[in-house]
Amino acid sequence: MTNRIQFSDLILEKYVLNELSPVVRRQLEQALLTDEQLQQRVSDIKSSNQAFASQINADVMLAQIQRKQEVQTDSAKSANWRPVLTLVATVVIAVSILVLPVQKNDQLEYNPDGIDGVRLKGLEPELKLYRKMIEGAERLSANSIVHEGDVIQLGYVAADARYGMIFSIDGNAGITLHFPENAQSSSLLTTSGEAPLSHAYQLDDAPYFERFYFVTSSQPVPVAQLLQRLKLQVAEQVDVIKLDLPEAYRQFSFKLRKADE
Amino acid sequence: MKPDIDALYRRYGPMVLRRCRQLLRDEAMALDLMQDVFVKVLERRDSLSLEAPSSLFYHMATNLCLNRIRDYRRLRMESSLSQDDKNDVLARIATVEDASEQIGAANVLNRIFRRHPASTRTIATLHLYDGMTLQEVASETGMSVSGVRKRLRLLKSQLPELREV
Repeated sequence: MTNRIQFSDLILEKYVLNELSPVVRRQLEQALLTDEQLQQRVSDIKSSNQAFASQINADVMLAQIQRKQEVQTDSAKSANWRPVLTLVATVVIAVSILVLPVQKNDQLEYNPDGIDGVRLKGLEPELKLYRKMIEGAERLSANSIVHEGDVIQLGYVAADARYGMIFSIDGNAGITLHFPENAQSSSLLTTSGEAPLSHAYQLDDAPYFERFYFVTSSQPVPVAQLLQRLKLQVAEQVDVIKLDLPEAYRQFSFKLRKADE
Repeated sequence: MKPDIDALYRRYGPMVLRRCRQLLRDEAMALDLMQDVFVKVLERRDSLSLEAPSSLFYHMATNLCLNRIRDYRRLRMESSLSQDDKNDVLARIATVEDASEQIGAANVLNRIFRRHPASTRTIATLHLYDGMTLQEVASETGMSVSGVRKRLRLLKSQLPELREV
């Protein structure tokens, strides 16, 4: 009985790419004459190559790669300015505290019913909500009263966040994903200015409230897993300002009140 | 000459995606990582040597996947990435720096991985996960067989759970 040579996946990949050394190539081709399992593995790679070419739009993918690279370059450039901006913000806050102690309390007070947390405007990711009117749109503030049928346009400012997801939870504990478009899509954010979502959202008849969340991360967000985790959380408590997520995620929430509340 | 990213994507994209799917077992994440591999190529296009492109792309994909697995472990979102024993081995290799941090900053392993942050993980993945022989790993990484063996011995001595693999 002869020992079969084991060929790794990488060797087979190189074979299909025609990048094997002549010696290994000869060994592999010899083995391919009799080893059906090996033949199947090579055949699988070739079929997968064909599927890749026919199912994944190369132009779209290359455009996304280009955009990602530009976003990273922009992030790297802004990261160079971040210490300076942080220093400026720190000085501004320090001066405000010294000169305007009363205003400080007003501006930095934690608002448990509306927007979550204390933020330095311009440095943190932010959600923006607009209600479609007969003419134009009205910018909504936290705790705005809204009605069933209102059409809400969402936008976000990514600030220094690279990835994120936007969803809302209503008074019936229903979770709606707004960004990315579905759990399989990329959570890469647009980082230049305010980015409107491609579609508006019509409020249904869920009672009490609709709270919108913007969760950001430096890493791609595992959207499907987070949604799964949220379902478990909302089963216990529906309206929470801050979700129970790992610390690596930053959160921003924005509550709209339903008219009947 | 700068590499033609379009041509490289069309030629090596399928292999990179297969590698990402194999290690991550998540279609969306694999597509995202495949893009990241080519983003890295774009970033380094001025200095990249493309003498052995298939090996280069394969190892870049492996390293980025290991980083992603490690990062998701840190975020405690690893459930879909460690569904069986084989992937658990991969997660242990990927998070080997975490293990060292838990033991303490002065740990020997920590010092080792600061010196060789990625290559030992790659060696371990190729041998312990992909099943490559020491000879194949050596040939892939440009090291001697004894060098590969020494690295693996050191890794296993520090991570006892890998001794049985």
